[in-house]
Amino acid sequence: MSIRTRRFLNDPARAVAEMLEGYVAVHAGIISLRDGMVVRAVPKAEGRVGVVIGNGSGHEPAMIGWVGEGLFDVNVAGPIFSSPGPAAILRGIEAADRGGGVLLLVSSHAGDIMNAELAIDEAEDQGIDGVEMVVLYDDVASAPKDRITERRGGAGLFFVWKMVGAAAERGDSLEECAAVARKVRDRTRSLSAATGTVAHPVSGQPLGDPEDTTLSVGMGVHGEPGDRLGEDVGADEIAGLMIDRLLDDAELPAGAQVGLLLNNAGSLTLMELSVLYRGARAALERRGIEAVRSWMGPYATTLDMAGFSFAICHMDGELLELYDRTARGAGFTMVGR
Amino acid sequence: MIDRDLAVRLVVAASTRVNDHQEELSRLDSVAGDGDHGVNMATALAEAARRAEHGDQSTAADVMRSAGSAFHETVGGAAGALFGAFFGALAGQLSKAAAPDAAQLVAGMEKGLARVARVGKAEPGHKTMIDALAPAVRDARESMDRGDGLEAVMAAAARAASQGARATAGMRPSAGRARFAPDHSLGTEDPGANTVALVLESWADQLRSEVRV
Repeated sequence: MSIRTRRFLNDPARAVAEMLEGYVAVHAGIISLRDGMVVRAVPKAEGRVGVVIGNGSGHEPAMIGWVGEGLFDVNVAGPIFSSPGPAAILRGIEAADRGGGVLLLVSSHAGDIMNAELAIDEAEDQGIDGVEMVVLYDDVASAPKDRITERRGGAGLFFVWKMVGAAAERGDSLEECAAVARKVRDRTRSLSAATGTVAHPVSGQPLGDPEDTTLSVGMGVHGEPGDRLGEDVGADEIAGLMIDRLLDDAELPAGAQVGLLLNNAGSLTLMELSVLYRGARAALERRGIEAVRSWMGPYATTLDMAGFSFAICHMDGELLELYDRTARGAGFTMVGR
Repeated sequence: MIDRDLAVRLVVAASTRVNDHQEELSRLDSVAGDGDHGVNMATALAEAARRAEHGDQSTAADVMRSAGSAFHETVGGAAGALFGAFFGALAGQLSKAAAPDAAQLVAGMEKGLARVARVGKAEPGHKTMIDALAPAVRDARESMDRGDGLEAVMAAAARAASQGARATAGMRPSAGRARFAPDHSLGTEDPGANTVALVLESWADQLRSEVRV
């Protein structure tokens, strides 16, 4: 078994910058590039809360595809798998400011948090106020429940991105938007699985052992290793054990309504995804849980990793209302109901 | 004394050394991380060296501050944040003396260590760059207290950093991304600790070569 090392790029060190140029050119009506950042082509109404995130690249369409109406105002894309530095994040905060305060969302990873905190310090030093930061996590494999704040961010955060974007667009205050972020985070859980690994495009190094093709559950979005499963486990069994683990962790009672996300980490086929989704729905039904909204596709990828993650978000009336509002990004569109 | 030109030579020496070892650093990082540590550190230090050689910094402190900014502006990530914080703190201390010497260097390294620990929320034994930096700072302080000069102080720091980096192989990580698979990296040295050792070794070698001349 070998991993793909040949990619259709020019100088790998320029890949992120060239990706941004190409991607923005395709979606010129929705996004544009400003100072290396992805910003909305049509800015949000004045006085509304600006929403910004800085993150490593290599997870596309996260987050460059999530800038637009009802979503983010600005995305600061860092190097592959590395958060941008504090200076770039600060520029993102400034660019997202529409006069209603700025919410800096952070997916919980060591570098993302450090650089965001340094950017917030710098904003304070420069007298920029009205900036709030919320750190988000959802991956049940990364820390036990009694240390939930040590968990890392995974694909389940798409529920947060969607609902916070909707709240900011409709005119919620900074405090209210931050409260939505925390509420959705606390009601969301994710877990991932993959087989094999991918090579880092710049260094050429594989993430983990390139010879190891065992199916494992609980890896991170940068290829951090997980627990190994047997060789001959079927999709239904994998989906069932993953959904059970999410429901146990969230302690959802029968009758609860959830949003269900099946995220393609990169190279799974629609065939595999659909079979896994079917298995997850059966697993939810066995526990008396209703999937009232579903997403299936590439949201947070790890280049072309052969893997996926499931995420559930415990819905209520407020969250469903936010979920169903219009969103128009280059990589994600939802027609409001 | 650490004047502007010496600071430039130190930054250039660090850049050259880390560039020569970048593949090895990325390989260490690929075991539990994402395999790009060497590339990122080489990129940031190359930019730091470019700014040092072509910038208009007038003091050693300015050179080190500009190196810190290079980390924050070019690579980001945890390592970018932490090395940027270290160089920034070092610069702050050097700026306090008109003619900074070993005393300011050691005090600056102590400030840098404290800032790295605060920003990174890590302690000795967590298998991070602190496991090279903390013993380096400790031995540099001891050497200075014995009355050693700049060259000997930096040699002591480099030795301790190198030993500290080697010792991380036997540790389980409790900070950063690698902590999610604590047994996975057992037997492998921490890449960040190795970068600290390489930088301090390059500084010790640079100072030694200048004394001989």
